[in-house]
Amino acid sequence: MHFLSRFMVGLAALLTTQGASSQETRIGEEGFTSPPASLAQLDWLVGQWQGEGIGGAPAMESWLAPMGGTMVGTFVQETDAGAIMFTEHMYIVADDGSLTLKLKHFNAELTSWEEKDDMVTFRLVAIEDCAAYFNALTLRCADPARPGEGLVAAVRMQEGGELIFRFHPAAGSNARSYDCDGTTVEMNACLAAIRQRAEEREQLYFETALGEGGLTDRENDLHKLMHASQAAAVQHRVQECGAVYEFWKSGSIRNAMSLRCSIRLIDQRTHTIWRNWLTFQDSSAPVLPEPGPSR
Amino acid sequence: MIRKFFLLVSVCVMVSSAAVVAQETRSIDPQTPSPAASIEQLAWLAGDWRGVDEEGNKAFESWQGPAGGVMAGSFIQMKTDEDGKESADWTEHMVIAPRGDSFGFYMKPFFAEGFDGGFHLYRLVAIEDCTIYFHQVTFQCERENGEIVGLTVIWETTDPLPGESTEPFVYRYVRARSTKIR
Repeated sequence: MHFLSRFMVGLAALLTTQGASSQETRIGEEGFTSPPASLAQLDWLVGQWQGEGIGGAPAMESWLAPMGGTMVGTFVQETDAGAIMFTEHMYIVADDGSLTLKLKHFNAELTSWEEKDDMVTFRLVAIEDCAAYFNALTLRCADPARPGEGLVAAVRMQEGGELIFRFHPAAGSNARSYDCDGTTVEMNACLAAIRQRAEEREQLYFETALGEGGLTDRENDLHKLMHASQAAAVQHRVQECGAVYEFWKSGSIRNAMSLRCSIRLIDQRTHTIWRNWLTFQDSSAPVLPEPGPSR
Repeated sequence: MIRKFFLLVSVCVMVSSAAVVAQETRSIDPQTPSPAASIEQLAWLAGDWRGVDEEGNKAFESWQGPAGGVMAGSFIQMKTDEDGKESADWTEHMVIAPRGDSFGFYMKPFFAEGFDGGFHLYRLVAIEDCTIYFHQVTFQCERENGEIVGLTVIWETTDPLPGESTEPFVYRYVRARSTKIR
């Protein structure tokens, strides 16, 4: 395995340069129990990320939003020379009330490191705000106060030592700005992006709300009512913000006014969904965090 | 369910506003060399895409921008059981990698039952504007006001069961932005 030996050389070089820095990874005790966790807690992971991986060479990681109890991801590690070192096909699956990460490596020739039908499995050790500690593999926000702006991945090697991967949002994917200003065109694009994020969050909250209802016959009736309510909310914002646009029609600010109207109404709706369906009467923690203003 | 609602709306909007383009797959003879191409011609595929297959099942496809001379991606096909519960049907690890001065589309399926298939290779047949024809698989962009807003992936039905349609199987996607809470 010429490839593997090259990998190990690179690894050794990396470990010596990283020294005994603080450990990113956690190891579960033998026979440890994974803590309760859901894929909704990993929303900060979704998107396309690029940065530095093994030996400081470029690496990319991407995760699709959770679907049907699974998140699917892709990882690519380049060599210093700009060729492919290896790729990974990754899953995070909701498993017995907790989460498990599974992955399979492929070298540049697309032969897999693992046996056929086999994947490397990492069970969840701990979950924290903006961080998931799988056994010997960590995924976390670079800064928990600013999710979506940086991702750190770390893997404990069998020989000891860790591989650290530092990512920022890939250009044009997760990129976002907090304040919309500039020319009319720039401002509209910025506001449209916020509206998009607001809609996607609303969608996530609503789907989660439906999921909380289960699927008994009674719940199916409930779902119909919830869908009708959601459709009415969408209809309301179309009409209200259409009226706003009409009022400002002769000014260049019309699009921005209408977009702001949409964002506000979507956020209100998301908060209503959260309040009615994702919080509990007692002091139990809500299913999803309280949604603040979209940005 | 609401995702389906949103999707159907957005797919309808996409289909009605995008110009109607022929949806076809092409084949390449094993003796015929694939045409020379550069990775930049494939780069428009990069991004996260969400959509539906012809039967309304959700599907998601994600492509990373060119890295190390290849593009890598993942795919997930959802299914809905009789109780309306959705789950992953299968996933794919996808790599578009150089073959000589051309490219091949390599796809390896992973099935929910826990086994995986080998890599399938689909050689490049042609690239026209933002339509990429691999052997029996076509990736076609949908443009709106000059911006690529949609992706159609067309798979030739190569081995139909008796009585099954021989028409190509089509996935229609729109761009999916990442979901950020907070």
